[in-house]
Amino acid sequence: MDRETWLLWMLADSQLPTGGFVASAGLEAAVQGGLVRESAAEDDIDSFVGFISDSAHNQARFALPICSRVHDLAALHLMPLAEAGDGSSGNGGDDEAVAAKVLEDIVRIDGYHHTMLASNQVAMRASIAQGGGLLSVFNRGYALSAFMGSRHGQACVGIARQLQRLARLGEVRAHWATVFGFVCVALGISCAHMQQLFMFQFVRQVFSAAIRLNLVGPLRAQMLSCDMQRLVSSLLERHAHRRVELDSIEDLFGESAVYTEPVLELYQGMHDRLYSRIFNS
Amino acid sequence: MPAPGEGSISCQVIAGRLYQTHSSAYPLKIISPQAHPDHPQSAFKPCINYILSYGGGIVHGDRIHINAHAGKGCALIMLTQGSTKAYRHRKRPPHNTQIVANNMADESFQTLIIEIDSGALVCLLPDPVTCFRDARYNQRQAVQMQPGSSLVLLDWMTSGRMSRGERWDFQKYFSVNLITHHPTTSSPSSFPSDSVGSVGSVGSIGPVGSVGSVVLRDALLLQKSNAGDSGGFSRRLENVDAFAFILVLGPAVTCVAEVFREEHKRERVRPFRSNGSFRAVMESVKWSVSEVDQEGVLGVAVRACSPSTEELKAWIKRRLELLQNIIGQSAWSMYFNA
Repeated sequence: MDRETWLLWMLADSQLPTGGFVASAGLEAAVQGGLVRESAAEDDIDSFVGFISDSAHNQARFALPICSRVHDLAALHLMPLAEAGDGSSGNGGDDEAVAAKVLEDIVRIDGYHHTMLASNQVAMRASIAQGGGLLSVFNRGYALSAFMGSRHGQACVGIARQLQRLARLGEVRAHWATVFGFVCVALGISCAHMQQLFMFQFVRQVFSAAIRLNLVGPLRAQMLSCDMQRLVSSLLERHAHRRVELDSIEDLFGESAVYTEPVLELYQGMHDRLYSRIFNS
Repeated sequence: MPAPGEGSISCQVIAGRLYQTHSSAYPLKIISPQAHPDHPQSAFKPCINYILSYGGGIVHGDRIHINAHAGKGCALIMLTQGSTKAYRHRKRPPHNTQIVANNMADESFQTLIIEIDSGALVCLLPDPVTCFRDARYNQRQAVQMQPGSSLVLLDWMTSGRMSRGERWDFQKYFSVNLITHHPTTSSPSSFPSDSVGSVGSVGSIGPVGSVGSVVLRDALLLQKSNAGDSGGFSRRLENVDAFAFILVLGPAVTCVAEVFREEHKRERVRPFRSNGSFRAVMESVKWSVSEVDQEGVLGVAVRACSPSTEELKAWIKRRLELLQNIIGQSAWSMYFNA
């Protein structure tokens, strides 16, 4: 078994302690607001399937282009270090320059993603919480593992520490999509696999919220989850090539990263007005 | 002469008097009715502008581009007369001869670049955009806010020509709202126009600012997809006929933002009973309020939808009522009592 597969399974594990279990991606508000019917458990699951399909599409158009771009940029600079191998006579100064460049790219894209979330406090809060969660899993977990001792690994560990330091200072937010893209490069996960994992995680999180909201039973969730493979696969086929563009004003006025579900966005914004809630978002 | 579809609006207060200029070229027309500065307590001189287009709408291939600038002490109020109609896409060469073979030539674009000086207010209060069947409409708005400037931005749309049974039947609706701060150049009142109207170009973004100065970006894309089920936008909008995005930012309109905040604190979402019909759920206006706090730009972002455009307009009107005291009764009436 190769290392990438093993790490993919670890990241896909629902026990990955990023705090994702407190987020419902707007499902709880959609249920209480009546957009998704509570009777979904018995006879009619259309509104729930509609919710998860539409929000997965939104995720593919809104956040996926962010983590794909982070992955591209980080891999571009960091992969030469991995290819050069551990035995290569790495010049410490060069490695530092590479790390500084990658950090700069991450900060820039993260800042832009932050402006995309600026009109949705609920989504912003969830993204920052989970991004911070994953960053500390990396720093306190993966960063200390033996295989991160490589030249590439050490450069990544340096970047992650800097990122956490900047996040504590409030100079960067470390959103979920940006941290996810970087951590995948650090762990040697390919862009295609990262994209699959990113979408899988999103869908899994919504299902897990649906089960806890008693919207679907755990067995039914398994059945529905099987069927989601086709949808996610078609989403990736159509949108995996997208990268957020942020270099010119044309880019800012462009369609590289957009949201596609105004009503879901609206309902998610209602979250803090729910009478009682079990999720944070 | 400005290029086709290009226009500019500028207003400033000098020695207690309002001075305004505007220009526009076919198919765009800008008119400025007189407003009576009838609210003595108001710190602003109201300057009202109607953004009109010949033919009452936007034809595919049209490129509307407006630069607007509000100087200190001005309340620049930008209105339309009736909803902005985006007509259906047709396979006919548009009248704009600058259009070359390009996918974007099939689409219509409306671009609005606004600069707000410190101590100025801009209220962008158009009627909703209505996209006809098969329309492809792009709306791009960038607002550069100097520290101490204020903005009320209403961006809203309807499902289409409902009287003709057209609901969510357009090909594409793309709306992006960018809020930037920190000017990057020192010529905030010039309106460079060299590149305006060229295909695929945003036109003269001029002094709006650099990429790093963006503090908020709201980009909504509704596009018909060939892939069928997922990606089609009409399902989730099934019971909605009007959708609004509102920004209330800056010190002059804190009292308006506060109205939304209070309601957000007060009104809890009542858990929906599963025996009610889905239609019943959508009968009233659904809304959410999000706090905006981005590098000194403070206020709220509001989203609201309703199965009725009139109901949504009434809902918005009630919440913006305090604007009357800020922009004056006559300016207010032009929008809300028209």
